[in-house]
Amino acid sequence: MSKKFFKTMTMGILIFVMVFSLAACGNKDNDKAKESDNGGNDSSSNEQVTIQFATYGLLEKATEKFYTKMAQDFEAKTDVKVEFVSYPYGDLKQQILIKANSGDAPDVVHGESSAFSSYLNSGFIEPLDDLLGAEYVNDIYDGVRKAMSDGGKLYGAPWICSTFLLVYNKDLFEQAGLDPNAPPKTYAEMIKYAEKISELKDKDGNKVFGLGSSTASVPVSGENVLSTMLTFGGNIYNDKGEVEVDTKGNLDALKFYKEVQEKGLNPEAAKLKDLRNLMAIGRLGMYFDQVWGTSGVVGINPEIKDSLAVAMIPATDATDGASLLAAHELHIMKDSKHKKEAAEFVKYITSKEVLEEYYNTTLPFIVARKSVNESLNLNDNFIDPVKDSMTQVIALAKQHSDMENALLEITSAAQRVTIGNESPEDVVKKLDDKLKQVLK
Amino acid sequence: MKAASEGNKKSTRRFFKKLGREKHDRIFAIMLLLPAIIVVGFTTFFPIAKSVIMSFFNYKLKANADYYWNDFLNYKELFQEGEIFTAIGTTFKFMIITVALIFVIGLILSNILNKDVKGRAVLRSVVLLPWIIPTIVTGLLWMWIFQPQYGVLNYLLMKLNIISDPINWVASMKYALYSVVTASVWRQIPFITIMLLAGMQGIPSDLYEAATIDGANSRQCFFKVTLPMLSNVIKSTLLISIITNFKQFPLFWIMTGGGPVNKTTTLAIMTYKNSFVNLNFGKGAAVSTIWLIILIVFSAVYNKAFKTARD
Repeated sequence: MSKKFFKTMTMGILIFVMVFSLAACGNKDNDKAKESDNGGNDSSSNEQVTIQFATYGLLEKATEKFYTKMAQDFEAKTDVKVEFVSYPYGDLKQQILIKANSGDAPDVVHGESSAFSSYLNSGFIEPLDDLLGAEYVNDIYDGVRKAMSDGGKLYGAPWICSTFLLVYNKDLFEQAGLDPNAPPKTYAEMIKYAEKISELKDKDGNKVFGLGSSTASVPVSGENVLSTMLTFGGNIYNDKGEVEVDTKGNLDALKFYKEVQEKGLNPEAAKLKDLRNLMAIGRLGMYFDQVWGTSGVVGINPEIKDSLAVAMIPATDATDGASLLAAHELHIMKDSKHKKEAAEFVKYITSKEVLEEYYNTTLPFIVARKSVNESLNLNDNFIDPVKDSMTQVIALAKQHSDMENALLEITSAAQRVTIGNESPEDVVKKLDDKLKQVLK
Repeated sequence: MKAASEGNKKSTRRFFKKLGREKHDRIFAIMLLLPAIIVVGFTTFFPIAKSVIMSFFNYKLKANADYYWNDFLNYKELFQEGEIFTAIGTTFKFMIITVALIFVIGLILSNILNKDVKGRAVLRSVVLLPWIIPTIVTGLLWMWIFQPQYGVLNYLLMKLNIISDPINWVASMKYALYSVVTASVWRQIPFITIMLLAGMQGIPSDLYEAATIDGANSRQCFFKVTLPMLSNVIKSTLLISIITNFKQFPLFWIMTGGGPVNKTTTLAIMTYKNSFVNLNFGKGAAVSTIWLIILIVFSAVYNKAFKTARD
């Protein structure tokens, strides 16, 4: 065996390995492409139709069983197979948009209100009016329908919903000499209640906070702060649909944050999960959260369940209480080859029968379809005080693709007046400039 | 047919003979390296080039989106908004403080572990622990420690009467960055310690013996023998740490999300927000291109400075 022969052999093997591995990659991609082309097959063929449902629900312990059963029941009813495309909660939106961009979109997507503007402005989701029918669409509460529409067309079907609500601890109300069955009706009353609760100490001598309103650097805190702005009669858009933030309502909302900070009523710059923890350990009297947040509180401390209650957002001089919609919503993708079956699936999982089971096996929520909400039999009076909360929903005039960024700027404004110690008058002007830049 | 292939072989042999042995070996070496070069090119340089090109285009994650050259608009917007300058400042501040702390602490620890102390094996294992824990878990762990109302740090400080009221470490304009620095330092100390310890154990013992015979004390031994002998290890370890901290993302995203009031918004956070929150990949790529240029310049200056110091 000569040296030359070994050199030639080595080179030949290396080149072969490289070409083979590249070819293998190519084949894999082709196979994948074929799979996605055939994904679910054509409705016109005799084969069973498969629809892909992108969600994080299967990855979460609390909902995994329910989602699996829901898909099996739908298949038994319609002979349409549901295939889950699972991503963790935090990755879902970007993964779906990347998949859609590469022509590999699922049929139905489990979205949520904070990501709605991103989905809408991506252009990958289908209007639902014709697919779901007028009867279904008109059954949705007006504010909710507007919040999920653009140009008069519905782009998301509300699945499980909530507004921001006032969650409170009845035991702490009693300890502070307040009526546990009479939550505050106005913001002024709420601050008085919070002051009384703040005088309490827990059994270890730790401070009890009167009121929690999340202002951390996350979009959901921005939704909470914006809901406060709406309650005070503010908004980020004026009647003409232009960005206008330097208004009395928004200024009053920032003054409210300043006041509760100065009085030491609110845990500063807290995330919702911090507030849930504090509520669970009996160190928070009231806080703003979506109704399903209460299951997080009970998850931390099951013993607190009977002490928890929810109430509608209190009124101000400007409004009877207002909130952005917080919703898990369903989108049908433009590239879906089975839109009819996808729409059937959406109708099925937003039906009375499925929602009752969802509520009883997972977590509390409000239903955004009038007929279903009125006829729902939950064997649970927990959400009765807030059953009409969907009427408090205010939809923003526009769905901008940079809305999540705008929400982060809104939380920054709340942080400026609280931990930053800036004046509400200066901050509202800064926010006006910033949002005009972000939402241009 | 056979005659033709014989002819081909002969002409190939003649071609290589003409080239000469040296050139022939060089071509052979290149051929051997070619698969690796192609793979590295595809996996490393191609994405970088694509990202740089993307930064000059309107590139948004939308259906039927127009991808077009936008006359440096991504860069113009970044410089007009001005947040990029704050982000660069925050990134450098974080990186310098973190690297300085991990280097000093790592040097002290590796020096202790290099000596014949009791329980050295146990100590070495304990020192490694933070390195084993995933960054995300580290972030959550430190958030829990820093939690203002029921976090262990405030509890201890209040019990020891060092503070009278709880401090909101992670959400404070003053302390937020230093909270992330603390978590980052804790996470990276093992790496730098192990690297320096490996370097120390490679120093011949006769150098210390000679220095001792010449009358050097332990401090002089450290500064005149240990540090100079470690210079190569220090150079590469510091550079790795600088790059690691320059691109630190998970700790910031988990602990502060870039807040409060953008006080902890670094270039990594800016890139992520532009690309994955606003879905503006062009602008996100522009931030990462600026970041890349800064890193290249910084590495070049760093290498030059080290070379000059050694000369």
